[in-house]
Amino acid sequence: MSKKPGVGSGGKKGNDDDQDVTLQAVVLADSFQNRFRPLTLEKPRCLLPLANVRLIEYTFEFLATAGVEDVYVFCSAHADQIDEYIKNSKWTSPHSGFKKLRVIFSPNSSSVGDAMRDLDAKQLITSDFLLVSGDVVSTLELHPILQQHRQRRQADKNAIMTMILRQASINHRTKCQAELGVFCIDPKTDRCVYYEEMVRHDRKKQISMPPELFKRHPQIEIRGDLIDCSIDICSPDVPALFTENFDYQHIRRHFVHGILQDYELYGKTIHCHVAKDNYAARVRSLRTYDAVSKDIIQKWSKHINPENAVFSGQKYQYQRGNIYKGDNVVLGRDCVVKPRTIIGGGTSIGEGSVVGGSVIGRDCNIGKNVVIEGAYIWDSVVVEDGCVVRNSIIADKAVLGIGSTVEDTAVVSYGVRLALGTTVTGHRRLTARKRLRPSEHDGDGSGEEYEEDTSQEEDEDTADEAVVGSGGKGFLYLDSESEDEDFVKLQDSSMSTLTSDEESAPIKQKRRRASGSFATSASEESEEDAWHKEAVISLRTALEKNHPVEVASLELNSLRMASDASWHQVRRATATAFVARIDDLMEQRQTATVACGQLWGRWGPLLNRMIHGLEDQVDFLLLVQKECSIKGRGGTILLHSVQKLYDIDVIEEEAVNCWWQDERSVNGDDLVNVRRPTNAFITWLAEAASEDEDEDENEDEDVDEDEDVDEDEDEDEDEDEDGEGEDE
Amino acid sequence: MGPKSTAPPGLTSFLNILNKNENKHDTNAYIELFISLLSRRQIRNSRSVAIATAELLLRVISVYKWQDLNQLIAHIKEVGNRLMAAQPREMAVGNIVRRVLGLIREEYEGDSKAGNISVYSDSGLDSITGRKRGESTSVLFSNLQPVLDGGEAGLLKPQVTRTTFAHQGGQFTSMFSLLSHPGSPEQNGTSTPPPTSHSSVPPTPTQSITTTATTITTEKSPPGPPGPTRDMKPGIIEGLQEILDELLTVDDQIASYSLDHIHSNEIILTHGSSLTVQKFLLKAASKRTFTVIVAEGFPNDHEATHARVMGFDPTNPIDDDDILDEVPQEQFQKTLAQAGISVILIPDAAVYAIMSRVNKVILGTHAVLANGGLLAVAGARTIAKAARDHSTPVVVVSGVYKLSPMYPYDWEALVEIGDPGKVVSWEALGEIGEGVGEKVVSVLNPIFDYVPAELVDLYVTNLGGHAPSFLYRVVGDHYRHEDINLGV
Repeated sequence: MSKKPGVGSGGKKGNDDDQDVTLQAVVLADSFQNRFRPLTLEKPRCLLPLANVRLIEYTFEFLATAGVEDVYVFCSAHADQIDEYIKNSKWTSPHSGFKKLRVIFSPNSSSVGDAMRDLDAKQLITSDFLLVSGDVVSTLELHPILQQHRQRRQADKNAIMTMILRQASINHRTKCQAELGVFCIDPKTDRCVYYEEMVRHDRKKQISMPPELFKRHPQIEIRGDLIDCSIDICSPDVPALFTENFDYQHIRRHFVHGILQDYELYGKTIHCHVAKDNYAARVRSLRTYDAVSKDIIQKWSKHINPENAVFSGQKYQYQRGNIYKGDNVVLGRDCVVKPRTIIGGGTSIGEGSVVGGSVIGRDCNIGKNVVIEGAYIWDSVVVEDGCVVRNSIIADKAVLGIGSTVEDTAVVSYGVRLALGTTVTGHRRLTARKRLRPSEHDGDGSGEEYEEDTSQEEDEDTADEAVVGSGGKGFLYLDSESEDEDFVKLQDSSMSTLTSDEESAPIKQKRRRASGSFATSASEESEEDAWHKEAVISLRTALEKNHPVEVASLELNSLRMASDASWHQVRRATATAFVARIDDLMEQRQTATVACGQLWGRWGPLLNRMIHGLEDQVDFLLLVQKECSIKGRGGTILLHSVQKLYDIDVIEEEAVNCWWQDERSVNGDDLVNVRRPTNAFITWLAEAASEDEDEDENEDEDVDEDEDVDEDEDEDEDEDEDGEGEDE
Repeated sequence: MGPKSTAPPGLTSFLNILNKNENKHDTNAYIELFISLLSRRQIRNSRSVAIATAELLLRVISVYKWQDLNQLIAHIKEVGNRLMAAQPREMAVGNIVRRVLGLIREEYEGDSKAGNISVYSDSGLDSITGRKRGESTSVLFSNLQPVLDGGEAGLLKPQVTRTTFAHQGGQFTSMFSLLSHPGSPEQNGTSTPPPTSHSSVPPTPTQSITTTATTITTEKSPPGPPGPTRDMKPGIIEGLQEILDELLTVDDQIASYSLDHIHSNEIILTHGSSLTVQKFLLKAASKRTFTVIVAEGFPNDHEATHARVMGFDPTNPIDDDDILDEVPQEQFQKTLAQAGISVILIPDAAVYAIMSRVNKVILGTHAVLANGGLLAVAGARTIAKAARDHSTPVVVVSGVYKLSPMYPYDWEALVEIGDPGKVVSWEALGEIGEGVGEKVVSVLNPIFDYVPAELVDLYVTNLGGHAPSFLYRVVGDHYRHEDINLGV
């Protein structure tokens, strides 16, 4: 019914297309990230309220205005809640504009890649479709872009994808600062010729483009100013390609990067549409949550603003200075509502309170003399007299006791109750949920590390009283990543008020620190990095030029001794160099089996010289895994590497198992994703072990043999073994 | 919004869907569609909204089956409330809904006129107390409140009017039509009359009661048996067609008065891209030569204004869907320059400087309010104020359909703040450096201005010219009193 009628006086071009092909859209309701934790422990990200409207409503609104008719919503985490919500929403009614709205459960998906493979397996997609995530806020007009895409597709079947990007500036508040996607675009054809992601916390300041790009494209725009809000028009080839490359997880980092890099192999092209007007943004993190909220309040988001009753149940009265008041709002005497504020229906604010630059949900109860600034308070929150809330998020049904202070990008999750006079500051996140993993229970104690005055009086049952005060309810949420990184981050980004959240990015660096227990000061670290680079370069030359093992080993050793590097560093450099080399070989269309087989096989002896026991083996595997996690084909490389290393007995079965169970190897999405393919090998290993006891003995013998080989170079090693001590 | 190569959702697409009539009996689908178009601002500006509303109500009424009239009225009210809630800023929705309601009532009363004589005699007494009640409540209502009856000036006259009617029976429908068309015999022929006055002759006695009396309860459930409803549908639909005709021809009707207001060698200042103004000036240009100064209306309206002035190629419409006061076929207007008028385009900021040379200011509107104030494209108030400083007369041209019975108790809330991206690009936000708390750069882009009644000298509607202080009578003539407060 809301089909774009295309019959209008001007609708000449492309009407036939429009009317034949129904436009399908796939909404990824899961973000596959932890950035909104602990809020997302209880609710999926797409059901979090943004300016008092659920995030997914914005996405549906965008799709409906864009003329999409079939919508598939992919859920994995909290799928039941999403399903429930959608069933009760207006979008399932026949007048919503969607002809079909289906929720697809994909409980096993843990990344965009998985979801796409699932999509491919389910064969739901019949034509070019729109791929968006469930946290997009946009007013883009899709029709012209779609037209362009279809024309390109008609001319060339291989133009499989159009990424829609919004032009902004490099430090734009609405741009996700954690991952900076660099798009290299041929301006003549709008073709994206190269993509690389600069992860901010990797301190990576450069990208490397293959030089032949410049031969093919005389003109290339390299742009880092684009807001990538994950709106893609994809052909059915895209899910198919995901299936083909089962190690692709991330749509940009892996898929786009990989497909573009292997243009010769796949022959597929990806285009960009850089939108110059209309609003488009994605709520990727708490920080962008803040920015998009501001955009909406200040009406940058065009017709999507609280004043227009775009969303059901939304009714506000507009007042000068971008103040929106819902129905039945009760404002006490002397209460000041400053500009840029939304107050949801049924909320009451007591005498003498000051509210500004904030969003307050429905049915909240704000006491007297409360100060609320730049805060996001969701529904049914009780803020008692004299509280101060600044630049924080307070989730549904939380209670702030009299005189509490919540400041400085703190998050108070659902149902937390702060007792009288509690102070929560410094990016602390409170949740009413008990920690699920035992490791996090330990983490409770470690909270003391950054909050000196917190004495640990833990009430196991309902609350961590040190945090919420006596009589309160809730725990401190501790991410797998510790908080110190966040402090650093806050200092170097003065941009926004909510910065503590770009947390998935620092994983890599964190891992590095966690695995090696040295290098805490920045200068040491940079020294270490310098050494690492040098060693990697030297190793890579050796690998490329096929130097004899002895020569390479000698070179590495002298490097090591020159700057007194640890074995861990050596292993790290080796892992980097080898994985990079394998990746290169695979680029030259060698299969992973061959590449891994040859390389590890030939250089086995070198490895034996730097791996001196179980712990080292585990360490090495972790390093390899980490290296792989930043490669497009990491999963494959890791699988084959582990297999080969096991075959040549550099790694023992026990080490493989230890590594597999080591929590450091599942620390973060990337690491989890990259090790997924290896699962097959682990299973095989377990089966083989139970069937065949003999293998163990063989292994022992093999190790002995290897140690014999080692003796050639033993002198060097002995000298340094003091440093590593207990390895053997 | 001009037709684009892909026919974006808007008035055109909406009318197309209505005309296709696919699911004829599911009017709810149309209503939902219209609501979504309104709330997304895909249909905006008074005329498009008015046309869409009238077309929609036409469909609703032609499909709806009712036993008695109250049921129909309740249904239309319910639909009307939904539409108005979708976009309170588009007052034309409410205006049309009210007129349709008035139309229905009138049909009904025409039908059951015979049984109403007793009521008639009662209401004369009731009305005084009723009025008082109405006025006292009106003060309590917040913000946007309809004027329940006229201002101070109005207090006396209707009383007189009513007593006159009481004796004269069905001869005149209201005093106002006597005043506004003093002895003009052609009124029945040319202008489409307000629905309450001339479309049917017989119903007059009861009607005069309802315009003046305020016993709302009696009016909502008129006594007497429900009339023979079968026959009424064609009448109502005919009336709606008349409203639609009026919407399509209103500009030409207004333009027909232009020669009374524009004289040779005058310098006329106007503002923005209003089509009504354009036609008004063009009509005058056919007989007279004069100079027109156009203020461009940056940043919301300037592209459309430029297009109007420069005469863009109609096949390549300007890419701006904002306040183009137009329906698509009117892309083909010729420009003032083509009509032999010299046109000067100036930025809004230069208005005051140039005002001393201007003989007359002509403004278009978005909505006219019952107190004689109006909402127009931002910049209008500056112009009106500058004109007042120079004692230059300000003439506002507006179709009666833009006249709303609402009273601007909080005019600041009426001024819509639009997309700040038209002032500063969103891309630049990063460079503005978003501060914390009070130090934020706020970019405001008001789309409309509220011009108070005292800055306007004359309204020219399709019914002729009126003083701002007299608009309440036009309101009283077009909207039935009991329909003014639709939300209640």
